Amino acid sequence: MSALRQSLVLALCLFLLQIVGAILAGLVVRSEFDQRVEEDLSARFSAIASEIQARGFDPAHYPNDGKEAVYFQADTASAASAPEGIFALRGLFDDDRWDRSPETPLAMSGGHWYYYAGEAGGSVLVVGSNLGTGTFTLIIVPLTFFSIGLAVSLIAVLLGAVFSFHSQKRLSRMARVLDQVALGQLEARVAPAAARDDLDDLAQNIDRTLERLEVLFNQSRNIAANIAHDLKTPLARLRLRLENALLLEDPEESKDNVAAALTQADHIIAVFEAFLRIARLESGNARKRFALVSLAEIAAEVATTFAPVAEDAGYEFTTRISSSRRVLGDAVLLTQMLTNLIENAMRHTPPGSRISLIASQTELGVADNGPGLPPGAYSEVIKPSVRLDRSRTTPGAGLGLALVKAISDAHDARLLLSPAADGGLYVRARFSAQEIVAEK
Amino acid sequence: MHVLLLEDDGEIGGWVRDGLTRSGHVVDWFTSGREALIAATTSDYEVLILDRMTPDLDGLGVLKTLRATEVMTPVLFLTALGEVEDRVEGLEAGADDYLSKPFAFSELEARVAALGRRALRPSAAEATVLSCGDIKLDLLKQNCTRRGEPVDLNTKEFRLLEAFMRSKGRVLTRNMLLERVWGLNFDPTTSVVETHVSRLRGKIEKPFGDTVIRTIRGAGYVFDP
Repeated sequence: MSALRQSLVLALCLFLLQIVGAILAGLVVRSEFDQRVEEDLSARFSAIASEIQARGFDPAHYPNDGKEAVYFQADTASAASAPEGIFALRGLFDDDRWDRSPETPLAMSGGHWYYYAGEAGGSVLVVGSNLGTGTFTLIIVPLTFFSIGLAVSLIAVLLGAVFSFHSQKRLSRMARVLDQVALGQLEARVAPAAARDDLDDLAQNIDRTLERLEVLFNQSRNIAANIAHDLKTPLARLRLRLENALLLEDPEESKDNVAAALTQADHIIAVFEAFLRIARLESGNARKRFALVSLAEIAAEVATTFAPVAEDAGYEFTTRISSSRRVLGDAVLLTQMLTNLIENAMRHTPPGSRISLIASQTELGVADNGPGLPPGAYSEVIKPSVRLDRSRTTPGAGLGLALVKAISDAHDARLLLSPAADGGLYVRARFSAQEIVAEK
Repeated sequence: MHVLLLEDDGEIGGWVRDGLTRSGHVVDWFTSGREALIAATTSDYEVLILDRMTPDLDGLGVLKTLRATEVMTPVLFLTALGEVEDRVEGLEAGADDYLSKPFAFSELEARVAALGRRALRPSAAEATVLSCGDIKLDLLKQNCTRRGEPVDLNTKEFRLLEAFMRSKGRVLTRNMLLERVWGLNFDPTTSVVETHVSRLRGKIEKPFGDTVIRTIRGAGYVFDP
């Protein structure tokens, strides 16, 4: 509820500011008003004083219309000591020494009176002015400010509440989703209805992050499961062999079993290494050692290494190198990629098949004319540990193509799997344009 | 040979020490990097085997300190499942060879032997003509003759024979050959080394009717004309 609270606090601050403003405005208006009254009153006093000077005091001249009252005292003695200025006088006129406007009571009441006293024609003249409902400056102005302030504040609180309730709802939703994620429900999403403001952007950001997290999390969960799966079989075999070695009487047989156990241990290490290599490549560390390497040179080097191997195993090995490009990459990794592809081809095609190492302008790959892949298996085979049922009986860790994919990804290349021209499988990495430099 | 071993794992340390002792080496085994460093600077060793992760001072620290004080004894670096970065870092710090755990003892033995001899004959690297018995290898002209007759080798076979001749009489493991001849730091599942060795034999042995490359089962090859 923090948004609602925030808006209430803001509204309260606004309200307090309005009150302070009202008080200040009241004070300013009042002092301004007092000055005006004094000026008016003193002007009026001067006018009456000069009339008295000329014609003497005639109360009938100054009827009390409820707005003005004039008092006159023909007493020269007190005139000398009479104060001059504006007063809010009370009780001064309680005797009959004063001549005054007709119907003017001795003590004024009702309304707010100001008096201007001074000397006129050798006597004392007092001019009073009723400010009407004199509460004007003292009460009405502040009250107006106060009530307007209150109204504005209330409206602000209401608007704030409406807006903040809306934001609050969305914020709470995000918090709830994040709570769910913390509890392991990675599929939870905020899913904002529209993209109108910063909060919606934030929600979309959260969703995108969760999406990526979910993919990565599932990936590592799968990899963990795959490691377990891939290591369990060789571990079982290893255990079996060691147990045999321990139980068998014949030392020769024991020795054979230990040798077989060693082979299994080496296989386990190889699987483990392959997983580590993939993980390392996926972490993106490989890029640090990238340099410009020639696709043609790598392909030629791999060909001289593997052509004899493939030929001795009964395969036909051909090379088609037409690339003249350099790419930013790691020669050892690219060699390993081609090695894995060649070894995969040898593993999954019958002897006598043709294996072709191809380095075209922007691609590096291996094709064979073996049985190829069943349709639909093309995206499946590059996942770690996926071995199609057909290959369950052929050796291999099932990591070959996953490593190829990881190497290809590390080079920002696209790994393409397609049927080869003569029916087999053609796997190649296509390097993206910015990684390619024409050879000098 | 006098070998220093820095390894904090009791089982692996004991296994390496016993194995190397059996092959006729004298092994001083330390479990702390500090002690190993003191020993390496005060006594004369022919090979140092340093584990990367050890208490007080790790193997890399020991190596860097030694090289900084101009102790140039050959160093074989050991590490758990070798990261390529670790390997590069170790070699840059001055290690002469690198072996990642878990390893076969034959591999360690062959590499230790290679390092020891390397220390004794540092000038062999500069020779332009190698000759062992009746086999001659001209590194500049890239040609090979045996008993005066030219032997036609392709680049890989040439490099392979060169590697053999440089370590005459010592075991070269598959991995050592993969690293030296092919520059591969991974193990292809196919028989790359076997195939090329067999082809080389077809050219260097078969026409002359003898054996110069012996296969040591479970270990590797020895060139011994």
